[in-house]
Amino acid sequence: MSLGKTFLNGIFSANPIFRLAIGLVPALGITHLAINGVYMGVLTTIVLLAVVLVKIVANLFLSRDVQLFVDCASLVVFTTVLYRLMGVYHPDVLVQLGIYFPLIALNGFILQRLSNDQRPITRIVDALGMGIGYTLALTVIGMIREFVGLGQIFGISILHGSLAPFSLAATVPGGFIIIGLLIALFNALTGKEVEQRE
Amino acid sequence: MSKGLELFAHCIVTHNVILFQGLGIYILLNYTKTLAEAFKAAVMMLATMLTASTIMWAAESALPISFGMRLPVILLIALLSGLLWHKLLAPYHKSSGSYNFLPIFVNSALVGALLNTYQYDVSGVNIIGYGFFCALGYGLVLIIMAGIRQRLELANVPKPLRGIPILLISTGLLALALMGFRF
Repeated sequence: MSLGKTFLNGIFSANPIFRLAIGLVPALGITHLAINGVYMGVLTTIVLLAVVLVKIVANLFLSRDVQLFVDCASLVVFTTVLYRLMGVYHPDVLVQLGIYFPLIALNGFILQRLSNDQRPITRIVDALGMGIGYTLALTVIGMIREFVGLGQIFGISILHGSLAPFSLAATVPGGFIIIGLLIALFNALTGKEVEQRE
Repeated sequence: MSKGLELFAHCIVTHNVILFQGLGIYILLNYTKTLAEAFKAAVMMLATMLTASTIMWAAESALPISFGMRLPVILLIALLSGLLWHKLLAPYHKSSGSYNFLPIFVNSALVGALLNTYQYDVSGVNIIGYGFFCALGYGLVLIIMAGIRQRLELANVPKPLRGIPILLISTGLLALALMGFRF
């Protein structure tokens, strides 16, 4: 597969949320505001890229037995460093993301991308595509939930009070229903079903 | 939060880790195809959660963890307890087929529950109780959803909704049913 196809693969045909249904925890927990989706997507992409780069370097020098520990350690270290940096420069974002920020270290789609055994440049492009696809998915979910739940998008009021917002959409149970419907819509548009573990 | 009944209601009903915090969804989607599989996942989660919360209680009692060190310590405790149980049960996993059980032992519900102990001001030996009830609530939802999933297989669900979408919607409806108990 060419690099361009690999990149687009992560955004459309292997989108982590809509096609693979992994990394759904932040999508349910913090996307009641669209901006949270953008923050979480970008932060997850940064950690993913950093961990993939470490993995590529580790592959050159370390045996496979040690690599699991290197993966775990790099995930913990990068998440912690980013957490501390955000605490210093953007503490408000840290408060908004709450316990879901530290959970980047256990994000299913980061762990899945680590098992990718392609050549280094393909892995980096794949990680970038997946990260952008994940960010876009979180943002779309956030925009829909924010619009339905609060009548605004990115904090800008759309309905101007002309219609009462359906506040359930901003809660986790509402998130389950909206994400379920969005995945169904994606299935209907592509004519495929979500790939599940065998 | 220190009373047993309060912890029980908080963890199982009003702040259930799956239904009201959206944690541990991967297990819900991938390990609830049968009741036996869901029960197995629930027991494994209970064992890991008890181990992790006991280690955390011991670490908290021995040396108070500063704010800056909480995150790495919690992540390390979760990873260690998960890998420990994964290693201990490795022979059983090999004999039972090719399933990868590592995601059950190390998942977001485990770390999320440990992080919540700070948010809800749970301290001392209550950390173990909190971990136990969170895992119990988590396991109950897994088993209920496995039952619902088996019934859904017999239902005539429109094609785009089959599989993950209908499962997510059913989970949302189950959460809505329990939302009435939130106080």
